[in-house]
Amino acid sequence: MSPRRAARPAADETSDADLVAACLRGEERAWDALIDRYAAYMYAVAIRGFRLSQDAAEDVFSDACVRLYDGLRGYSGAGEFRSWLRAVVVSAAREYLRREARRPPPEVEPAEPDRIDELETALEVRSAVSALGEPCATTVSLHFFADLTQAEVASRLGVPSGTVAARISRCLRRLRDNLQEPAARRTSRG
Amino acid sequence: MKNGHLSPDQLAQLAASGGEDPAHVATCATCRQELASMRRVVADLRALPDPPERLLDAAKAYFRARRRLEDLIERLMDDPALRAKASTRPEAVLREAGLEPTPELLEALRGGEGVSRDLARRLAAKSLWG
Repeated sequence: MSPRRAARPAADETSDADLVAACLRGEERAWDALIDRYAAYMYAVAIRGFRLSQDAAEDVFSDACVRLYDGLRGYSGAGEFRSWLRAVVVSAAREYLRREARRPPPEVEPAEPDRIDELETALEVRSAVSALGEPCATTVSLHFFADLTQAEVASRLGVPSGTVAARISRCLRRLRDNLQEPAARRTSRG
Repeated sequence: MKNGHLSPDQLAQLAASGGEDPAHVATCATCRQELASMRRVVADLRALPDPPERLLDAAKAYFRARRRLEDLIERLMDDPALRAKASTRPEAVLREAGLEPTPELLEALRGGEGVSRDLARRLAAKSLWG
C-alpha cells in the first residue's frame, strides 16, 4: 500500500454554484474545493464508465480539468453542476477514445450511461459521508475511499483496531439511515 | 444477537468486511433485507475510490499556473517593455511570474507578436499540467 495523505472528507458545504463563482474570481481555495468534491467522480467516470486503464483515465482526467477551467464561464448555474461536469468528462473520454482509436465509439455508447448513472448514486453517498462529522468522516474515508485496511486506518489514526471496527459499523449504520431518511420522507409525502 | 437476529453492528461489520453470510441470514428475511441494504451502501462507497493523490495535486496546481499565465499575458499585452524583455529573456520573465519555463512557453514568449488572451488557453494543456 503506497503511503497516502489522509483522505479529506469534503466538509465544505458551499454550493457548487458559489464555488464556481469563486473560481471565476480567481479564488484558489474554491478550485481546490471543487476538485476535492468531484475528482473521484471525474476519475471514476473515465475508469469505470468507459473502462479505461489507469493511464488512460489519468489522461482523460487531466483533459477534463483543463476543459473544466476553460468552460467555467460557460456554466450558467441554471442546471445541476454535476450534470454539466459529467458532460465535460464524457466528452474528454470520447475524445480520448477517438484519438486512440482503441475501439469505435458505437461500442461504447450503450452501456456507458448506465454505468455513469450508478456513479451518480455513489457520489451522493460519498457526499453524505462528510455530513456524518468526525470521527466517522475520516474513518470511513480512509477505509473505503483510500482503501486502507481497518488495521491501517487504526495505525494512521493512532487508535486500536477494535475502535476502528466499531466506528465503521456505527458510521455505516448512520450513513445508511441518513440516506434512507430523505427517501422515506419522499415516500411518506406520497 | 437478539432473538436470533444479527445485531445492527454485526450486519454493518459483515457488509464492510465482505464476509460470508452466517447461516441465520438464509432463513431470516429481516436480516437478509438489512444486510442487503447495508451492502448497497458499502458498494456505493467503494464505487468512487480516491484518485491518485498526484492527480489531485496536479489539478490544483494547474489552476494556479493557469492564473499566473493569464496574469502574465495581460501584463505583456499592456506593457511593451515587458514584452521586449520577454522576447529576449523569456526564461527570466516566466520565472519571475512563478511559471516553469517549458519549451512551449519559451517559444511563445520569444515570438512576442503572438501574445493574446487566447494564448493561455492554447498553451494551457500541454504546458501547465504537471
